[in-house]
Amino acid sequence: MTGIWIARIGHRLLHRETFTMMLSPAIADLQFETATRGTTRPGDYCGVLRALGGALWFDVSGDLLALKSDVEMIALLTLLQTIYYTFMLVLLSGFGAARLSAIDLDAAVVTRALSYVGGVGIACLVTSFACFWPPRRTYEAPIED
Amino acid sequence: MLDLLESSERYGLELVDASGGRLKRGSIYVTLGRMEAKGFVASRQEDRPAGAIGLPRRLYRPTPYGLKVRDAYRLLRDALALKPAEAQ
Repeated sequence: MTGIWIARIGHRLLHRETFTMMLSPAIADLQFETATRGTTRPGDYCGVLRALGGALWFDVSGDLLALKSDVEMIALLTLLQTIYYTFMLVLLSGFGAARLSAIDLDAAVVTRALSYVGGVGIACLVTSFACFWPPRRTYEAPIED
Repeated sequence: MLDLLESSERYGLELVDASGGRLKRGSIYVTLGRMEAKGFVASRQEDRPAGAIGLPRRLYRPTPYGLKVRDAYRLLRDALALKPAEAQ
């Protein structure tokens, strides 16, 4: 069935309403066009993929707005995680108090240390977002071929 | 889009064809979805015979509210297009 793989991807990634309102009609029209014309042009697929992209953007932007009320909790969770993992990394990398005190704290070292902490912070931010992200659809019966 | 829908219920693809290239099939469904969320258009799934395969197509029609918004927009656009001398 034409476009069924796009439907499967959309089914997994999009909210139920978004799938029904934005992607499903695009695929249905593609299937209708293919059935009446007998062939599918690459441009038609591009149109449906763009609809998928637009629907995904619609969902992600809506989800981000929905997270507004949880910003403080996300920030706190990220901060706690960053402190914890940074401390653990310093500990596990063999830096004792003696070695740390021996490091000459010039600008380059501080910049590098901050970039490491920043990296850890970004990773922690991702996990915090994952905890608060609005739930997606539960898995339903797969779309029939 | 509301102008195109005023005469009859249409599918997304029909709107693309009727627009003469002004509407693209990549963006029309997202736009229609947003318009429906705002209450400008309403939609329903097409009636299909039993055992039909594939996803059902969706038909769109404007809501009375959508037509009012369109009329208000037209009025505003026309008023802004008037030259100061014409407006008096």
